[in-house]
Amino acid sequence: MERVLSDVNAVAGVGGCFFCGQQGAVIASATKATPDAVAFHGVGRQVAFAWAALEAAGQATEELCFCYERARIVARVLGNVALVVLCGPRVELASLRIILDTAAGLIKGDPDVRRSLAARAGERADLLAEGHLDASSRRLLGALDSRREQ
Amino acid sequence: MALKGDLKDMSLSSLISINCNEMNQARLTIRHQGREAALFFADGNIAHVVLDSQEGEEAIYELLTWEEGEFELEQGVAPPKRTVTTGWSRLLLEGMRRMDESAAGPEVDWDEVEMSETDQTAERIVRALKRVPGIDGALICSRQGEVLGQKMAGDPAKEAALTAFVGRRSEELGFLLCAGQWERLILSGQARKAMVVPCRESNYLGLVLGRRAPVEALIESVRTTLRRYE
Repeated sequence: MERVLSDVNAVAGVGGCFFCGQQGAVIASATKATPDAVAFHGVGRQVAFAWAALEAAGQATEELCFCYERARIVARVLGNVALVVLCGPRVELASLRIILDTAAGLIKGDPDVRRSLAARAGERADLLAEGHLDASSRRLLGALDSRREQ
Repeated sequence: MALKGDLKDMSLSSLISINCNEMNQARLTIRHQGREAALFFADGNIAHVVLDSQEGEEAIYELLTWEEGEFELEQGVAPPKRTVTTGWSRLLLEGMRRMDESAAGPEVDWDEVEMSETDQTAERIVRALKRVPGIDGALICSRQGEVLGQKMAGDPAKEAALTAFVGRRSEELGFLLCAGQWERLILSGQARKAMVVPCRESNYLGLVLGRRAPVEALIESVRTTLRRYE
């Protein structure tokens, strides 16, 4: 896991990265620039919410790329964990995606790492029960759940 | 060191947009079913393309139809000559238009679209966007997930709820990291690609994209369309 994080951090424009579970809790992290553990946790939670909504909508997604004026956040879904990368706006996305593809292969091919990540991934129900969502967002998520089979 | 890969994993349109955006000077060599092509990047654009005995823009349009093929990107290689003068994003959009046409898509008359529509602005925006090559569906919704305009297959109410939900998450993330203005969220899966962008009056625009759509080039089309209706 540490090697994967180190490889990702070596890409030009990457400021830090971490694995998070379905609850958004940080499983392992490596920081190169300013984001701290608290920021990672908040980022992980929002990514986990978006990931949960996509699954509730029946839209399996491999990558979420959030683009801002001064930053990019790339989240690669790897089974029941996500590898989240915090980048500057000019990150070399081509290089980053190749590293992320390699990371996905490593994780899939290593049962020990897979077991370790799965054990710490947590339950999505806990994320949704924690009460971190505003009322409107809860209604939206409820609407997605109610239309899940439609 | 050369960067190697396959178009199955990274489309040519993505490779072009990345190299042009990053102002790379580089040569991209692609091998596909016994044929070889080379694209040269310089000054934020494509400078030269050669495919078999063909050179220039027509070669690019053919290359954009290749869905697989080994590629190799070598940095620092200067173009031997200049055979392409059109900007890269226009080339990608034209390439997408040609592919759509070859799949029997109708030709777009933007002026006719603008003149004949009398619906609400949101409806007009999504209709205009739906006609852009590479965009398979478009929807505008409020922050509460109310559908304001839609032109997409499936369940618009569900798409609107999802668009509003992930739009809100994107904004929260931006605040959390002091990342400046949120510009877009791109969602990539095996089956589909989608984009969510902030839209007029604090609403959200959700787009379903073709699996191999040139996202960076489409962003410019989306911005232009939204500006037309501001």
